[in-house]
Amino acid sequence: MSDKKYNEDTIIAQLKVNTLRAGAFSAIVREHSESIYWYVRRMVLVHDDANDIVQNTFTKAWINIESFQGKSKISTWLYRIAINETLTFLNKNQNTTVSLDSPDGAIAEFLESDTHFCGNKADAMLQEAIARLPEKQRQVFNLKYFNEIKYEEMSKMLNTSVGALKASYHIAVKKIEEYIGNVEIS
Amino acid sequence: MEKKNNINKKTFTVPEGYFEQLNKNILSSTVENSRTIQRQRTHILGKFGRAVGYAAAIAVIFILAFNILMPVNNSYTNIANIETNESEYIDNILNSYTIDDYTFYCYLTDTDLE
Repeated sequence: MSDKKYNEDTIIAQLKVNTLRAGAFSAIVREHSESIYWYVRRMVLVHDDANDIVQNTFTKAWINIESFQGKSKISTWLYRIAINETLTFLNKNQNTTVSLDSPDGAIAEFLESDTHFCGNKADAMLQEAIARLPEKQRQVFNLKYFNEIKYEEMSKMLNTSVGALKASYHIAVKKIEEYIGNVEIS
Repeated sequence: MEKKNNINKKTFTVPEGYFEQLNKNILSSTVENSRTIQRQRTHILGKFGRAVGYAAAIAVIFILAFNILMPVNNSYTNIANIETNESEYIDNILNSYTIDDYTFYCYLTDTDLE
């Protein structure tokens, strides 16, 4: 890890200089890779898949680094790439490892058997409830609840109005509570 | 922030030292890879440039050697040969050209006839 303090304005300025670009990108990777990883991991649930998606995300960011104008925050730009990469992955692998078509409790069961999951049954059920949300609501819920992204930032990431995002989050919370409630009853 | 970290720690885990390795992997496939490609490109261009230089030098030496060593006795560049060849050529044409007396008479001028 670098001892240098990360400064967004300095990094953006360095990205515009050929000789400083690589160093600036290294700082970006160190600053954002972990939070991007956790967003992707909660979306795809499997560590190896999340690892591949995060690497693809930063590879694409590096390839397009010269087109980054600095009009948005670097994190917003990276999240946008990560969101697209994740959606592409989920659409390509609809019937693989963690399928939403599987019966109730199957995702929680899968997670409990995963060596990189150390939550209890309730945690696994919460993850299953989130995984069963429609794609957009799942994105909004994860970004807001776990990554603590502000609605204004999320609005730029997802090209959706703040009002619509708030509504999506509210509906997602209701559905999660409802799903967990139903599971506990049965 | 507490909530996020606690939930991550409680539910999902990553292998020991994963994030350090992840950053290394990302940088080796992006920044380091670009640097290697850049170095290779410079190296290849340098080699190619030298090869072109050598080829040009060899070509110049060949041309100069050819011009110096080969005498200029080409039949097309010898004036005497051109004249001989031309007169033979014209004679052949004239021999094979059939011209009757009337046509020949037409070509003659008044002075020729006097």
